Amino acid sequence: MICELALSTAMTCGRWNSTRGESEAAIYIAEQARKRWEEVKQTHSVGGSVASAVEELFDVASSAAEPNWNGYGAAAVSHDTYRHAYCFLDSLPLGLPVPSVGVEADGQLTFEWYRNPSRTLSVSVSADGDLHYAALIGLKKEYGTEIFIGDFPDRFVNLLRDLCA
Amino acid sequence: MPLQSIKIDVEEKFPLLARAPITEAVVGINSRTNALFGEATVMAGLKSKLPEYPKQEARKNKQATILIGPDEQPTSTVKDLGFAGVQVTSEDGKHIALFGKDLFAFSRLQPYESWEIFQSEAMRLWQVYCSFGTRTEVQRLGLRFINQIHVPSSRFEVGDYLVTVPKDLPDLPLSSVGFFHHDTLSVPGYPYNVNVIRTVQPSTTGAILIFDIDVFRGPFSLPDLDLEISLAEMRWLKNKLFFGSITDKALSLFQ
Repeated sequence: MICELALSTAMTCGRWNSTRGESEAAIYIAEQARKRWEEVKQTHSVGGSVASAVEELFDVASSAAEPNWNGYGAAAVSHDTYRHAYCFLDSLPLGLPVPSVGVEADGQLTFEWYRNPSRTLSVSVSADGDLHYAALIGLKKEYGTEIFIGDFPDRFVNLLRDLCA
Repeated sequence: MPLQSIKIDVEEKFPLLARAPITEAVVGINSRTNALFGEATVMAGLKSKLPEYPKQEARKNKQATILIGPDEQPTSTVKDLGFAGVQVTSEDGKHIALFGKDLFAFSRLQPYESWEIFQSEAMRLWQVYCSFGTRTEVQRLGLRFINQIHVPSSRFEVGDYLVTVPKDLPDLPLSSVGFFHHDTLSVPGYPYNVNVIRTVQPSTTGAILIFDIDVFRGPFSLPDLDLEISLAEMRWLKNKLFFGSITDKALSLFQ
């Protein structure tokens, strides 16, 4: 068996919504934050499900890395789309439910939180880092676009709370 | 309990510190343009517009892949994913600016001179950035100041320097050998949030207490908001947090 490891799966994402710095101190802070976050994520109890979702994301993106991956002319998942999707997943606050991962014919990666047919949230990640979302929470429908810049959007936290309520 | 409202007063004066502990000041602006942000145009434009930033380095997105198989030597490939932006650095290495496709960032490394000089250079470079494509909407505006307080001993009381400190357990006398404290705070009545980080960085000559204040705000349209006014308000917040968080002992080190 050949095992292919794309190092981009271990890419660095801003751990929170932070202004980029260039000094040694800025790099030290980023490293410390990353280390602490990784320590929590490596636990089975808290971080295990996120790790599974990251693997699923890698598998899905790999399966759609070439054009026409579905036999019907689908667009390939670009590196930028994968990078944004990875960082979006990485930003998911621990304790929130972990989504399932999919891919669309236009090359966007999708995350879906599905509780039942009338309680779902779907988020599509584009190459530009746009997060197109649609939610159905009982009779309430909500959709729109958020721009991902490092933090898991508050709007999604609130929708997930409603979804799980 | 309702949150107390805050009144930002950009005219308020703060002490001028002869030995300010600022190790880096940064303005970061995330925005988008519909214009083509091409490597040749941006590199040539920066070369002619910013001769005082002689070091120019193109940033590229890259993807590295390693293939591992049984009875085979691992092989690795690096794929060039294209132009991501240019980082420019001044002759003395104290000013660094990133002209990215979606991100502009300007850093002033120590020694920090003054707000007026810092802000004016940031805005000048922002105008150069906008000359490569109009930016009408900003997704995030950040103003970050990283302070380093040099402490002569590796064993010290954080409370000697900072007002808010981690608390000891009353019934378990453990000694602290390190900490990393991160708060995100919102500002009632204003669209600002603040990341505050306090941590200790090891040093050969004792320890360095890092106090990092990153004020930021979310999306807005540029015609509707004056960047300089917003930055002035963010600076006030930064100053209030800084002077409200350090002890008299720390302040005396910076005067």
